[in-house]
Amino acid sequence: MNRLCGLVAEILGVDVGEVNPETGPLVLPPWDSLNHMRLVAAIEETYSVQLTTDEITNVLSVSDFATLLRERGVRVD
Amino acid sequence: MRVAEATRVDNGVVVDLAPILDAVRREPTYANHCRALVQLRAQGEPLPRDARRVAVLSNFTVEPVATCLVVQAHVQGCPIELYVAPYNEQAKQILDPASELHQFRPDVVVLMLSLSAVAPGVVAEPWQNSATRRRGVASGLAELTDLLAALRERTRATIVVSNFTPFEASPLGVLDWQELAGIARAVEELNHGLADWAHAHERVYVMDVAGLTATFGRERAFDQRMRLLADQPFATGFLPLLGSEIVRYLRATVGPARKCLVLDLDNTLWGGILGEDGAARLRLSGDAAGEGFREFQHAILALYQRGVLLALCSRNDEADALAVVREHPGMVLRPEHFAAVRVNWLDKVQNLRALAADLNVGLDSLVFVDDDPFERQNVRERLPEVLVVDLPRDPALYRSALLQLSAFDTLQVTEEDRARSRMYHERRAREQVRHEAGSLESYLMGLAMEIAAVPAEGAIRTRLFQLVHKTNQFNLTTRRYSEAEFDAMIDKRNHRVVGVRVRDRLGDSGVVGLVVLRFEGNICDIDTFLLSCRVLGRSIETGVLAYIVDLARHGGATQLRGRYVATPKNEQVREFYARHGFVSGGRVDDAEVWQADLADFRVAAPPWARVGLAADDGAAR
Repeated sequence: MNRLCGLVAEILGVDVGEVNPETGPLVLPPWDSLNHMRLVAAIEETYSVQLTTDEITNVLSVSDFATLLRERGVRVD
Repeated sequence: MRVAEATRVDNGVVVDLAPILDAVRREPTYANHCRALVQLRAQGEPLPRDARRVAVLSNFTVEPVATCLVVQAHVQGCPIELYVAPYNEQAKQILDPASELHQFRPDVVVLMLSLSAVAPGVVAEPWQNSATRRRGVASGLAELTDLLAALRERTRATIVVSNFTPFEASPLGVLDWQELAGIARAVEELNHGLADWAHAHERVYVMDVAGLTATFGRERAFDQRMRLLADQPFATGFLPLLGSEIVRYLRATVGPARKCLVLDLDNTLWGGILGEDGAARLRLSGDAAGEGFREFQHAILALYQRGVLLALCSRNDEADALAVVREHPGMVLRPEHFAAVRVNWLDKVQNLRALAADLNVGLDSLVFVDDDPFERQNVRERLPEVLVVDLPRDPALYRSALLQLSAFDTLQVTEEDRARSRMYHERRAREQVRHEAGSLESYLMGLAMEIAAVPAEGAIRTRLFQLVHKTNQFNLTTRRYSEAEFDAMIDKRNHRVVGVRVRDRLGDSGVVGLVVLRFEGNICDIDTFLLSCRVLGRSIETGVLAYIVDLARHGGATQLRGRYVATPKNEQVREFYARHGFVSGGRVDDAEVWQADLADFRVAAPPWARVGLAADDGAAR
């Protein structure tokens, strides 16, 4: 999941060491609601997928994103 | 641009932005814009001193747009300092004189409002009848223009306001255009009303977001999920394009970036090779591809009509090629449309240099169009200042390639722009008279020049502001005022802003010069003194300086002070003040200061170059 963590770190502007699969808005202050939308947009664009409105609302961590990507047949590395 | 990026210096720290921006150029994805912004911020977002100050006001979540805007401004070589007002605070920010917006002192304010806020009924109540819908649009438009009027009153900034587009297909379906004022039509009426208002008010320009979404595809441009989740209406894929389009408007507010379109002939303006196929077999109409060349020429003619200079640069026999331009029934462009011509067998780089010198413009004012990839690469490598258009292989697509070019973008066309070509004709006529007159003095006397001082009002003000941003060579200080600063000086009591208009018996050169004087105590500072290169070589500059001396005395000054700030382009005026008897006052920052004691000072202007007041008209020329 390194690549996904790296993407999240780049968009949030934090060190890649600060992001692991369990990282989410509750533990990482830069992950605010605005950046949440940025992350969704960047991840959807990068992996060519589209999440549903509820899925976007309910994502609480990087691994939640990974699960949604895998459900759409994306290999998350 | 590339060079500047790589070596931009900020507070003594050299920052290499090139790799960041190159990544965005290669792949302009939203993710790359976000990455670039993070990296720019990490490097302290270095900005040049003259970066323009841009404020964005919106009633939807505009930050993702702003991300792309900031990065695109860097990518396009005109970094901005950005202020984004809090969500939906546009009215408060505009009306409160102490607001963050006004404290920011923007040069440009971008106002982007959503249709659902301006005309809520049109969006939320599709069952409305036409009359109700129209009333809703009218009252929404009135509120919007009231807000714009308030903004105009409270700031000197240039105002760019986006027009409107429905977020999705009409709920009325095929019924929409059967109604007197269906939803689509109501939105168009709103946009027309906004455009009419902007047209009637200086400093207000419409940004055609409706057109941009249509070109991109309305269904792809909006994202209903993002709108419902975050009140951010745009689809991710549309954001970079929108950011780039806003930058296009920002750049256009100060007039076109380039001045001259340099055109090849064979397989560029016409199909075929004159030297091999002969004039009779050139393709210009008659079949589909031939018609493509003609349409391309029509698009070029449209640029010419709004003031872009055209030049020819072709490997051909000059007499043969010009005969085709003059006589071929399929040609749209004719010899009189070209301000300069280099048709010969020399290297094109050499010819481009000569064309720039002929027209008195820098290489960075040229746009080069040639079907031959070899020539394009040659120019690109050896003259990186010249913008090279990548012409597609198919002539049917030439016109689209030209229309995508933003280098000639402008938001206002002055009378001077429209008449520029005529002026180049007159210039050639002048050169003819000069040839016949013998001595330069008798020639200049014979021209019967009228040099008039004109006030900075109306269309003249617009023209003067344009000169501020495009005059490079005869420009002592090269001060690029923002529109706000410029207007402020016109109104200030201790400033004099004066235009210089020139005409002679061969024609009207229009408003070609600007003087800005600042009075402080007994000192009069010449903050700006510039003249268009079109009128140089006639001692007009000496006449204007004599007039400045008069103005300074009338204003109560006893000291006149001028400055020379060196740029790569204004070497020719380095000694201007020295030549006219000013004494050196040393250096202050980047300026050489020159002084004259008015108690005992005269500038002797030759008899043909005396400045008078505008006699007959205050109208634009």
